[in-house]
Amino acid sequence: MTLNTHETDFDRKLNAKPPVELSVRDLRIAYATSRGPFRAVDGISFDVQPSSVLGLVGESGCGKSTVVKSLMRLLPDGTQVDGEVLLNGQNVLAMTDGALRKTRWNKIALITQSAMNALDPVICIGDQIIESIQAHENVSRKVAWARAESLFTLVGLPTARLREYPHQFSGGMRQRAVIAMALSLNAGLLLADEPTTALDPIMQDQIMSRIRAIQDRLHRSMILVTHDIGLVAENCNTVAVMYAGKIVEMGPVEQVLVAPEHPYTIGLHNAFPRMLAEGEERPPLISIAGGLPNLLNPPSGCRFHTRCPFATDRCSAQEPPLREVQPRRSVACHHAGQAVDFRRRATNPETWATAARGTS
Amino acid sequence: MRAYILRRLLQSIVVVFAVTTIMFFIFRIVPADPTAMMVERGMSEEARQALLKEWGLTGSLGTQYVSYIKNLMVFDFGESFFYKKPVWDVLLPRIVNTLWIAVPGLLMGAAIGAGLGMVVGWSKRGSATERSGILVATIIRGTPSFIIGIALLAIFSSWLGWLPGFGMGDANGKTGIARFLQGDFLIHLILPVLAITIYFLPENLLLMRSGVAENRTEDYIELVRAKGVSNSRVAWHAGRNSLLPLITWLFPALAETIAGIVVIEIVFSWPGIGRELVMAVTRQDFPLAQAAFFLLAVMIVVANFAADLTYGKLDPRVVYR
Repeated sequence: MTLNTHETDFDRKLNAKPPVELSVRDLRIAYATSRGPFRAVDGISFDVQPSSVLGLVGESGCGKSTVVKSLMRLLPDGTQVDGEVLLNGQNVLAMTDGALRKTRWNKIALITQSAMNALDPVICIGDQIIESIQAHENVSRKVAWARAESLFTLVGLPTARLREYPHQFSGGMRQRAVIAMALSLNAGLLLADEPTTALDPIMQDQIMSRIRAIQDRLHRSMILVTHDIGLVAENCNTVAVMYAGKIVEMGPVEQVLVAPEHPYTIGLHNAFPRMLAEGEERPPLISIAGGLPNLLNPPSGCRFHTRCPFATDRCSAQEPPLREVQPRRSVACHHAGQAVDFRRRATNPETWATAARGTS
Repeated sequence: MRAYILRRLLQSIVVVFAVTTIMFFIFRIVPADPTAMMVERGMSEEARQALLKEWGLTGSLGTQYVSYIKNLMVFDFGESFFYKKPVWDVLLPRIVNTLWIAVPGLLMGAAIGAGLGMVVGWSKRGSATERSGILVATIIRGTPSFIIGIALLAIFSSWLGWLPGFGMGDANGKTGIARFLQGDFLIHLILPVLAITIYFLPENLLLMRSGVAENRTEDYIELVRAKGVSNSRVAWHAGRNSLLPLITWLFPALAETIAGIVVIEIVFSWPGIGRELVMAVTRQDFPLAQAAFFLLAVMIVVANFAADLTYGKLDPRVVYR
């Protein structure tokens, strides 16, 4: 995809911004509820190298969106957030309000899902984009508007439509507008929180190839939050798999998706259709029975043991730490050494059915 | 858009026509005699009949109605029974007097109310600002306008003696706009305007507050925060969106506030149209009362119309068909 736009000096200045390095250390997030703290995220650590894309996957409610919001400190008042979010070494969680305001959008920008409600319904889209520019850059409205036009061209929208309102856009167009807005200051880190979830498959593909093309050109660091393994395979360098507020497996995409070691990753892998080699028989799609545990009262030991077909007594008694099994590859499972055997047994639907019976 | 305005205009005419008709019959059905006041002063039966004839109250209800409508077409409401002057000569100066207290009072009530509502709505949930704001606004909203007026009178006029609380001050022989541009008049203006402001403010505050409190949890607010704009700018977005329901309520409410203004005019002996209307009804002064009610009906219809048009200006999603 070509992305030839008419660049202004301002565009060139912003495009020269370097990508940032993100390092998250022992992040713990607890929402305040009337029944006590809800530990949505419980001690996770990960890194995003400059210009690389990290995929954050897991089922709904596993805490992945919470992680993303915490990186910009967008969680509701009263939420307890501990740990460190280091952006080129600066801890976002310890910033003053003024410093935080300068960091938002300038260094980290957000592509939200369901662009349906993500835009202010009564302000024209162009004004919403230049609002983000003028909040950080001392430029005239004219220069900011020219920048908004470049961005619209970049995401494949006609510049005349900058004057329109969100309700005049289709879902796909709104998503593009939200992406254009996220790119307005060419932040060094982009957080894409399920950017295509609300769209049909054709539009999903268009949006993702647009994001990839922009990524190829601007080399941003990025976190892609999704529950779609396919998107991770196509777009990410590394992947972190989350389950019930913890990272259970992390490593380079080609390793984690081809040879998963944690039973949960193996289960996720079985639950998605994939491309088949010629002559290969289509394996059955197997879903993981049961649901996420209640985080107000999480299970003892490994949080996945209640749904895991390979769980042993040790799993319910002792929590497995996230251990590095190879360089840049970590797994949180007591039985990670048996992964080859697990993967073989996991292709049999009966294996998962037994686990489901065990829990019910 | 043009077709919409035209259709709304026709609808408005029908509404006003219906109101005037209902009004006409209500005044005729009421078993009261407008000549009673004169008779008490020793008027003979012959003179009474002559008066009734002069006032056009002799013929059948049908013929009375026809001539009433005919006159209405050219906005002729006849002569006031009481003042013996054309109705408009009595009402026009009263309307001007009322506008002097109503316009600033309502504007300030709406603006200050919306502003405070914004602050209360944006304050932390369960904070002292939120709780005291809601409490005070609710108490004032529940207070009848005459209590507000009397309280102001008692404090600033009687007790402190800072401000006059009766009438409009001396005209000093001046007429036209010069009559109103005197220090004495402006001092007399303060308390009634304050009373209307206080009376109108709480509803605006509460509506704005609930709008802002609702909007602040919307997804778009989160994105605005993420953009790194100032906190007050984020609040502005929530406020801008909360104006929509406020405006729909505001214009019709302006018209309904007339009731409160009538009372405030009476408390401060302000020679406005509301006070005049009440007196006209008690005096059985049909032409004057009918004209005053006609004006109120027109005001309410115009207010609703204005609300619709403003709404379209504020919300791009509104389409006129």
